[in-house]
Amino acid sequence: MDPTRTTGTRMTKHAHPLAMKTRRRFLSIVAACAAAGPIALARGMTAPAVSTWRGTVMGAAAAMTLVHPDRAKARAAIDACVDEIARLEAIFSLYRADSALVRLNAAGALYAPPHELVELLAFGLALARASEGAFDPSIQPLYRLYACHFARGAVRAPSQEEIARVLRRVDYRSIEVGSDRIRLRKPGMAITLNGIAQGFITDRAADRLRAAGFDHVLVDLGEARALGQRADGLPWQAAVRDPRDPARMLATLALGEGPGAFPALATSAGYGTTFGPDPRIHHLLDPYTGRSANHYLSVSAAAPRATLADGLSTTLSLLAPPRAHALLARYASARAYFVDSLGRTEVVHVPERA
Amino acid sequence: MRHTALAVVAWFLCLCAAAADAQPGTASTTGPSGAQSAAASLGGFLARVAPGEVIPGADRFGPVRESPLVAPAYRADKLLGHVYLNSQYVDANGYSGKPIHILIGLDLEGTIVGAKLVEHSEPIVLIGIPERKVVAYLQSFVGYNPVKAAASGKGSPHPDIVSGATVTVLVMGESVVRSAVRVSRALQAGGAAPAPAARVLDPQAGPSVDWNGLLQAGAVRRMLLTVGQVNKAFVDSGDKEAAQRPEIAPSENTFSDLYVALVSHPAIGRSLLGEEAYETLAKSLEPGEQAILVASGGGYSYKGPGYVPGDSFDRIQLIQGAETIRFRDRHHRRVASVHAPGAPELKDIDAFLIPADSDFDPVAPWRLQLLVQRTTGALDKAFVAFDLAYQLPEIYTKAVAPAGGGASTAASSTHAAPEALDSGPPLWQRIWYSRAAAIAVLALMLGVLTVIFFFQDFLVRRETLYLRVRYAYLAGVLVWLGWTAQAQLSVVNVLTFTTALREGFHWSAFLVDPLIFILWCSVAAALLFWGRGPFCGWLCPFGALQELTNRAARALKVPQYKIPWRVHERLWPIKYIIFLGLFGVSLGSLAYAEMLSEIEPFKTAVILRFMREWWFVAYALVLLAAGLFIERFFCRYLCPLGAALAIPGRIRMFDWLKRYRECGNPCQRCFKDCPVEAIHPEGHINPNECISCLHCQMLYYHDHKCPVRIQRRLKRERRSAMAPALGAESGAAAAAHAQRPAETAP
Repeated sequence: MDPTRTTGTRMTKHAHPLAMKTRRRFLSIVAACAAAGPIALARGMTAPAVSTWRGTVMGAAAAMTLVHPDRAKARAAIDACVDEIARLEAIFSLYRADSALVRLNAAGALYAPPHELVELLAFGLALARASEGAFDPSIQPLYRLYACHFARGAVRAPSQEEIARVLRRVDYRSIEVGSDRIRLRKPGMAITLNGIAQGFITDRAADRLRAAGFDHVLVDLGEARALGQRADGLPWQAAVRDPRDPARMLATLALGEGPGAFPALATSAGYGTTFGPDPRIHHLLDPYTGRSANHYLSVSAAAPRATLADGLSTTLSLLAPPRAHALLARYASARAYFVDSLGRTEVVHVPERA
Repeated sequence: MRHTALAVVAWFLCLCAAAADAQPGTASTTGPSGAQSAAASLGGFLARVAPGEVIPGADRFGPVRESPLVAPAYRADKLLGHVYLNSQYVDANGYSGKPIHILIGLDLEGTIVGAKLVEHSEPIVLIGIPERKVVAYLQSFVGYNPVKAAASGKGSPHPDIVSGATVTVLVMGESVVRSAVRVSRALQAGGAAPAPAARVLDPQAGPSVDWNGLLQAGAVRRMLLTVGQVNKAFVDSGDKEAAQRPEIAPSENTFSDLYVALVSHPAIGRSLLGEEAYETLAKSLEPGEQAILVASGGGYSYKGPGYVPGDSFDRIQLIQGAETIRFRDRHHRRVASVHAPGAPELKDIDAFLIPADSDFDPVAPWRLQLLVQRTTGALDKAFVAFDLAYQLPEIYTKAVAPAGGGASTAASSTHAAPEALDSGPPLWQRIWYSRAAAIAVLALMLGVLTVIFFFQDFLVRRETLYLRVRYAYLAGVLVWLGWTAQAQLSVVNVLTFTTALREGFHWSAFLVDPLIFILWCSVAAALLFWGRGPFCGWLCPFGALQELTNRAARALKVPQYKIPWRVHERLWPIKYIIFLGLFGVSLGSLAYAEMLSEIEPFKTAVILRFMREWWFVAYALVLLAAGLFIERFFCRYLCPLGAALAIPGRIRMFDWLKRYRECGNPCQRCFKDCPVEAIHPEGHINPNECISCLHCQMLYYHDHKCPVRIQRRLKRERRSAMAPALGAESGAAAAAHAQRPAETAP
């Protein structure tokens, strides 16, 4: 009955299969509040039944929690969600040879693409334009360069020439998205949606549960999205933890749909997701320099939807503070937590100007 | 190659061990008749195992629960997990067509913690092979959590197909994984809730009603999207560019008014389209195909403004479970108008076929997704999707009894897609696919045999060619079909088949071994045409082994012993008695009959290639040794499969083996030469014993061996005025030849 749950967050949005082993869970979101239990008991409430599912989504630990008195109905809804997640993984996964994304990358074009790929790639391109290319879905060739480079046992980053050669194929403006066709205009281009797909799948799972009549849900598929409240009637709680000291909470916030709460939270961090021995060479790659971005230790973004939270946390990680704040100013509904290299947290929320 | 072969043998050995292990239990606890049917209950099997064997640490089982059908296992009062019987949840029929019963323990997380084979009827009964191999195989499932694995996209912990004849192993693995999914889902669902009965489409059900009636019944579902809703969705998406470009129309205006219906259901289809248009549509549907009607009003068309025939319909997709179905031009059927009275004005009306191979379940919920597009720049677009959920109302469906005695209650129709997730295509299809090469070779061999039979006259006129073809074919049958592909038919197949006919026939049980299945189909056809010969004389690997060893013995001048006709004739019935005995036993206990079927040395000599205990090997070698002196000794007198084939073989349609009037009277040449002594001294061929080796046909055309032919040749030669002395000489020899048998004839 205790809804206290600790859930791991994917280290980075751009994990490459070759580097999967380097993933460590150093950052996590706690959707819990230790004091909640006694309060609920004090009120004499009988907490509604909680149904929980745990599994793996896109290579990361995942969980769904449903507050609903009818456990059988909750279980059926979870089954339907698991199907939906599997369906979406089969579209976005870079590890499945038959996924729509892999087919697009292999052929350079995809006719009658799945709606979800069209929708999410268009969203990614909008984010790329908003961030002037800091976020770039076509960065996959650069990851491949890094992953292969370090898989061969390299210690230092790839050479400037190698990077420059690959960066010629990284250009979001050469991606054409239409509902009938997606095309990559330059030869050798490849797309990754690992920076936003997890959030998108999280949203879809939450939407499915909402459509099935569940109003109190926490979906944590690496990125978190919450509906309603916890079983005890309080908001879902999330904490941003210190990447270097998981016992230390840097900030907490309410998740869900109550006043002051954000429905979704996502975190990006490069530290600990390194390609090789150098901790400063990791998966958060800047498409301008071709090098890992080390502006922050981690960036968390809270937003109305997990897709946006996921995309923002990734993008903000790649931008130096002034540009990051400027980008955030365009998203009045979002809030960001920047953790700097000393572990100091800066909370940035730029409300919409009246 | 060698490794594969060894692995295959190893599997057989381990299965044999399992078989040997299971038999005593079968016999001792349930008796011969009950072993096959009534004993397949969870409670019955639980009594045979210690709780700790299936759930480590458990010391007692609780009472068996009804729904789901499981028994809780406890240590003292602590619940450790649940135990169930695989065959009560999934089709676990193995090679024998009978279930392979395995008790499986799940912990509270749904992870498999133990599995124990408790009973099976696989025809691989063997004494004294270590049980540990089958135990090790089942142990490899321990620690596997199928629900979690399915959720993370991982499959079974085992490869889909282990090469070779491992049907039993495949069924075991498949049934463990699939049943574990069902049971853990049923347990997680709270257990107490009764699973909904499975429902299927009922083409007869449902009234013919007007548009509003269809809407109210839920047969037609609607999604009304307003401009305001679409604008909000773009704002919510987080795409700033899209949010800044709202539709300019008033927000309460209709953006899209979308309708869907399962139009392939006759009542819905007739109501919506009218009788004539429905019939046209129904005729264009292949079996298993469904069709949906999509119609819309409002400004946004699901076809898109630029739609031209030949395109795919890229603004809609159908989603069911984990499946996404896209529609292309070939799935599209034009619909002129909606016939149902009261329908609104609709701008677009189309029907779309859902292919039969898309695993679409018309009874399970699905949704049609509409992709809405918004231009955000010169070339830039944003998209949001809206779902129109559909569920066929219950009045158009009917309940079906769950198959297998309540086994599949957990597999309600809504689970169709998850099942697909964890099981893939049916087992037998995967096996056929994986054995495509072997199937092709077998088809080639059968083709060659058909050619041999159809052109036998051509072949047997050429003695050398005939002998080469025959021995080459037999060598192929022995080495490839027998030792490599292990496709040796056995009387066990006959017993399994007749038992299946009595107790419920399932194609799937026979389809799991493609080579055996194809061979049996061919043998059945050949039986109708020519009797038992094509199998016994050509396709039986052990028969080929006997014949080839006998030929080798003859070449080494091993003396051949000819059993006197009177004795020979009276030895024939032995094989029929053996077969009838086996058949009688199989009526009581198939498992026992299978054990007795070891009278056939097929398994020792062909399937296990003599790698077996010495007494089995000795028995097979004794039979082969007898065959060195008496050709096909086993076939003639002992083979129950030959007997089983001879009985229906009496209805054969063709008698293509040619005889002369002189055959048997006075000529005794074929009688003496027939390798299996199937030719009566009176000259006629006994079809029950004939193996269609075509030896007598080779003689029939032989100008130097068949006395009739020799005389004709001599006459011809005389007529063509050849040297008369030479002709007289041969003629005398032929006459002498014809005389000698006449002396010994009764």
